Amino acid sequence: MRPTAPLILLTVLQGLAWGLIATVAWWLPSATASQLGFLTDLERLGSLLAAAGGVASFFHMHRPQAARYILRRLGTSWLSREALTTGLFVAVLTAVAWTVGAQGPGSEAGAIVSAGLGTVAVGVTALLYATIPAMRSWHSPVTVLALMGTGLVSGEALALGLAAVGPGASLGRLGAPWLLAGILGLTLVKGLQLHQFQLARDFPTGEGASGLPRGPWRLQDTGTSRPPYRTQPQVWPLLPHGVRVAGYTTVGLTLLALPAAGALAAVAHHGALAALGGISAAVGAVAERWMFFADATHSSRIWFQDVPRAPSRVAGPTASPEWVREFLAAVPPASDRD
Amino acid sequence: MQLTILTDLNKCVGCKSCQVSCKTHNTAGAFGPVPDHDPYRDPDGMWWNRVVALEAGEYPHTAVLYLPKACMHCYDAPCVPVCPTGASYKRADNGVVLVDYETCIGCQLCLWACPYGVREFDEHEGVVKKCTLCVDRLEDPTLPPEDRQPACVQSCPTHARIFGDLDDPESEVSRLVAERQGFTLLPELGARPAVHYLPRRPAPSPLGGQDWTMQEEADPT
Ligand code: SF4
Ligand code: SF4
Repeated sequence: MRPTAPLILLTVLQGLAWGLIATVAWWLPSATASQLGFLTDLERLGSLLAAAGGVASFFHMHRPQAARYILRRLGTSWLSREALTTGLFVAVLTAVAWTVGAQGPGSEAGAIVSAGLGTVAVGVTALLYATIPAMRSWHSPVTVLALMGTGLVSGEALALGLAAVGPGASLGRLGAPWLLAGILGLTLVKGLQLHQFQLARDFPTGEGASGLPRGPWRLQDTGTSRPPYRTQPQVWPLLPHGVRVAGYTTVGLTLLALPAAGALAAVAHHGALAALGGISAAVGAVAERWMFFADATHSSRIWFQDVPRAPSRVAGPTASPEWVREFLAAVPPASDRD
Repeated sequence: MQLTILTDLNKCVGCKSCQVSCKTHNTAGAFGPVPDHDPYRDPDGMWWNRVVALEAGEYPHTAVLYLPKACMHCYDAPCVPVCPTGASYKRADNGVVLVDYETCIGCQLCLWACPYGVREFDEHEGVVKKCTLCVDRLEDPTLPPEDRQPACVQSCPTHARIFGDLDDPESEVSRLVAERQGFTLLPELGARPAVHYLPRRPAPSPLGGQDWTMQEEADPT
């Protein structure tokens, strides 16, 4: 489907903020007094990122004047639930970060509650994508694991990278093995997701789409002069193989490989390299999300996809049946009949 | 009551009358929601009904199929529960699935949820639009009763499209679906579309024995 900036920003920033606050909640009990200010800064960075994601989501609504109705379908719509849970996450995280921070009374409880709300918000967002049967690439529990894993890993890698160049270097070293374990888990999940996307590309069956039982099926005409990519953003041209390979290679390098190198660098006291790993993870999360949308297959693709137009095969000369040849041989040439 | 359209794929010749009459009625009628902002320079605006042409099989056993495709007014319409504002709804009295443009926020989640790619986003008004089954015609008391049916059904020159109540076992659509194996598209996705199609009948082939609709050949053993 067509990737849109507001959705990429909302989901990436929400995940980053959750990863940051979850890391803060985990590091707080081990932090020294001199590191608490740094953890407060991390919380505030998380709240700004989460708020920016919330603002970005407004640009996805094309009629914000009707936004007051958005909570009407909490019983059935994951989007209503996302609006509620993400709103709560942003509100509570912002309140905690800018009042008690990591130093004030109840700071540990505040961080834990914020991280818990972040877990719910990111989980609900992931379920929004995973529960749409028509979105063949996303309709899988792997989607929930991938979205939550990307948020957690990118947020923790960013926290670790910033810690390595600030007063939190010892916290970074504490987090490095866990970040490496997280990256390993996310690598497995992304592998499964690649397989899911491949299955989805193979899904649309011409039989179910036409009632004609025997393939192969070819689309001759989408009904209009061009496929409706402008009015139907759920379909998009298939990514060329080269773009797909380049996209997933970028994701592998920026979201997985460089942050893993950054975690090792944090252990080896290379602050700058660790910081580079953290920034790379944030960039990698954006690349991952772009591919998540751009490479996704919707069930309606079968009726819209621009398939390469191969020339029609026409009948070659075939021998006439025996009786036709006998008949032609028996009929005298026209000149004899005159 | 579940109003629906049944299309006989043996009769559809792909003339696109239904596609054009839908556009004409819904662009020019009193209701007029289908935008057509730049029809002469950019003829690629919004269409609620698209006649898709598919070719299947391997030469010489091939078939070409014309498939008019608009909203299926599904029984379990997946576009309805995902809508956060309730703008997408299914009418309880006649089963028609509609969009309330006043409460639609243009989030497009329903476009993702619909398996059939029949919802369209109006980038000028910021709302999603789709086939209304010409509900404005069905409920227009000023029209003579024979005209109270969708524009696409009325304009079909081969009478391939039949309009009726699928929940009424005595209706023509129910009878044809039952007698001639009426089928729905992508049934595995669970939307239970109300719109049905009548499958192609086997046709004799000049190539001898084979048929061009590519029904599975009988096992000779
Ligand atoms: S065809 Fe699509 S838009 Fe129409 S009722 Fe079914 S799911 Fe909704
Ligand atoms: S685009 Fe409109 S009708 Fe569709 S889900 Fe969003 S609010 Fe509902």
